[in-house]
Amino acid sequence: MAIEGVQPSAARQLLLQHTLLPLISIHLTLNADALFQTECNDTLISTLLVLRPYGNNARYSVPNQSYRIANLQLITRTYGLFPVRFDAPLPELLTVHNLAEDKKGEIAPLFSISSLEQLLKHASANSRTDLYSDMFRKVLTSNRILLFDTLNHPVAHIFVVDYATDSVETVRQLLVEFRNFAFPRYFQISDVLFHAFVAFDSRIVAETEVRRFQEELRTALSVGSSALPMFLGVDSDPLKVRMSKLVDMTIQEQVQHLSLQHTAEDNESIHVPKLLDMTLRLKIYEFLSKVLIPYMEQKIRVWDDLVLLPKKSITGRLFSVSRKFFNNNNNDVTASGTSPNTFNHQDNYYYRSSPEQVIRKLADWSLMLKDFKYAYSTYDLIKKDYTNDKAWVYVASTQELCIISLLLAQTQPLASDTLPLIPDRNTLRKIRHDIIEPYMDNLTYTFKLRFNVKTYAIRSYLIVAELLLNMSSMFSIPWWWDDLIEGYFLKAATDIDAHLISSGAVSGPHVLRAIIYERIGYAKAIAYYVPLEAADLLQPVLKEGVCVQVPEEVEEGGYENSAKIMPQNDNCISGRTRFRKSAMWYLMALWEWRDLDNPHQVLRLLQNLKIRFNVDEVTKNWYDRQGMALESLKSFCLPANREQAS
Amino acid sequence: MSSYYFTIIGTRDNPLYELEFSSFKAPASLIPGESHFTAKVKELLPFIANSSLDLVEDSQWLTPNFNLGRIDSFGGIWVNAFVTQGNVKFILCYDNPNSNNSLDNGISSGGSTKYDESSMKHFFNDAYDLYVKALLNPFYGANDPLVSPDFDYKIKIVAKKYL
Repeated sequence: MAIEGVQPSAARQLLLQHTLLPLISIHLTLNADALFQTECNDTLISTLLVLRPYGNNARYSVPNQSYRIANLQLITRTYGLFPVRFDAPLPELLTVHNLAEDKKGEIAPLFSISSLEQLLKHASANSRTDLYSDMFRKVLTSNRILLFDTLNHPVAHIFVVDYATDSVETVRQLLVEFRNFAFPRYFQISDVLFHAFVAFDSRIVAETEVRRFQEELRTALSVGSSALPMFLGVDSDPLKVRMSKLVDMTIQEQVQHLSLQHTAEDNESIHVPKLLDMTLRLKIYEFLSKVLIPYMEQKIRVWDDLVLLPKKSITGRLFSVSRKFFNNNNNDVTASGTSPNTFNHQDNYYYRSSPEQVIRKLADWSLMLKDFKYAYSTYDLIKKDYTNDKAWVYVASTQELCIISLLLAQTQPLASDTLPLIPDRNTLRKIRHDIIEPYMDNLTYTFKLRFNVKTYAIRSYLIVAELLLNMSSMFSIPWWWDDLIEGYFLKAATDIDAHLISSGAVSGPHVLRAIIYERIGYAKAIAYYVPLEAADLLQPVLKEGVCVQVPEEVEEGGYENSAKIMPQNDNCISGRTRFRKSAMWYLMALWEWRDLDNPHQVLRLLQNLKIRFNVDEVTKNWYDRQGMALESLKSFCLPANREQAS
Repeated sequence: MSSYYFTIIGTRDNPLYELEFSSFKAPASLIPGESHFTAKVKELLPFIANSSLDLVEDSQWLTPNFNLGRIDSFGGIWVNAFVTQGNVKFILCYDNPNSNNSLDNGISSGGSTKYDESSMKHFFNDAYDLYVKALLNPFYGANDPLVSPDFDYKIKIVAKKYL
């Protein structure tokens, strides 16, 4: 009788696999594209589409995969996965998102709420599964290049070239084109790692020749490279691996994909030859573990030495204090943006080489390398500078990441087989009252009222609620966060409602509301106010639902009290669970699904009420009275029930 | 004008008695005491009362009083509770006329208005007296519905007096 829903730990993983990871932009030549199309036998695909799924190396791993990451204290930890995102080249991303929107200090919305609603409505039409993970993933996945965070600024730029047709000159040309692009002033091109994937037809070209080409690339252009043999055993092994095209697609991309439905039968997947699949996994693993991670580690060390430590030092502090108090006469310089090391109030950004922007990048990269504690302390440090400069959007974004890094640090396993320790009362009190509550109030005020971008606030509500839920269930301490979690989910739902109604997209029930109510129901259902060591007490209720205990058999001739009221099996945990509250929220979600005329979702969700209510038949209990909410839902489901039974 | 939903809930979450009414203190409507809950809210009220039992069971061990005060709210509906010695719960749900939150337009958190907690406490105490008297009836079994018209009439009198 388990309650179905996305596990809080899975939601934490989604966050790590879709937001807090390095972005790698892929720049390819037409010839390389053609090579991939020939090998995959599909003229409609691009190399980026093939490479994209391999960023998720939790799913597409190599045997005995391990990534060793050393932090600044030179403590090395090994991780089983290190996801990355492959995306289009930066100039393309910047062009698509229309930089003009961000130019006058205004921030464009992170995603379109009505598009998300449309997508989920489409997905729910025939789905019998929980859509929360889809929604959460879509909210998290964004390739928008933001001025106030560097999470979406590419860490590496990979050129994919064809050995047979492309030369060193081609790579040079691509490199020059990239370098000459008019990047925004907040983007630092010198931090990007350039690398090349040299694809070659292994049937014609020997690997030694490719090595020579790689050596030329290194000496002429200082670009490292990896050889990518293609057509390995293509005749002998016809096996193909099916990959989804929809991986890591943003909301806009997926809406576009839906509206441009091609005539092909299987439009949502590509078929990669088995040996190419193995090669790509291996090469990407090698690139990440031998090139990207060491590069990021080295950069972090350099920034820490050159920018962060001087700032923390006593002279650095004196300098910043003097700048704060004696910097009143150069407002005109700042406003015109001619002084690169100060905040540009007119266009609302820090210049790429300013210490604030570098430190922000240092914190973001530490987060990507899973050094959450260091990231938190860095965000906390830089937040003060942003506040002094009145760079409100930077403050809001940094506050969000302070909360995220703090909660991730608290729930990070100490070792691969050691769970983190439960924080003490004082720490929990400080986390809640001094960090989460004031920061969330502040950042949502900034996003909603100062910049009128609700979507950032909605994303923050959802992420923080999920991380709190994860912490709550991991340590079994729901009494610390239960009300906060419900509050943040509700605020997200309210903001979505307000937007959909004001934009005229939806006026009645909508899928997003149903999904969020369902999530609140799940959060309540797993809020066990029982200490971890007494978790066994929950088992009878989770196994059989709440029911009356059977009286012990009386010996023959003994007295039997027929009027005795037998206790229920939840007697010892009475008041320690929130199953009834959960049922209420599920009921609200069910109503939305019913009003959306979706019997499949109603039928699925009804099963989550089983702990408290009998949902399999219409009973004579109070909740099945004529005209009551549950009775109307059961009768709504009857046709679907019959259909499923048949 | 405030509307109220009063229910007595037995030890197995079964409602023993239910009453919907509106405040008699506010200007009279066409039918005095008629509740103004919408059809959607009416459908949900028993579930709101039921869902608050989790919090009643949690907070009943934190106070020596039978009256637990305001323990819950859901979409603009506030919930006050009272626990008897026999673990029967009295739940009073009432709407918040000053709040914009409504179950009809999605739920949000927040909203506040002043309610006289002491009058609710008096109402619960008097209702408890009536319940104990009903319980003393030898023909009444524990956890049975309270269907006596006399009990219903007296509860309405108490409601009129205090709410």
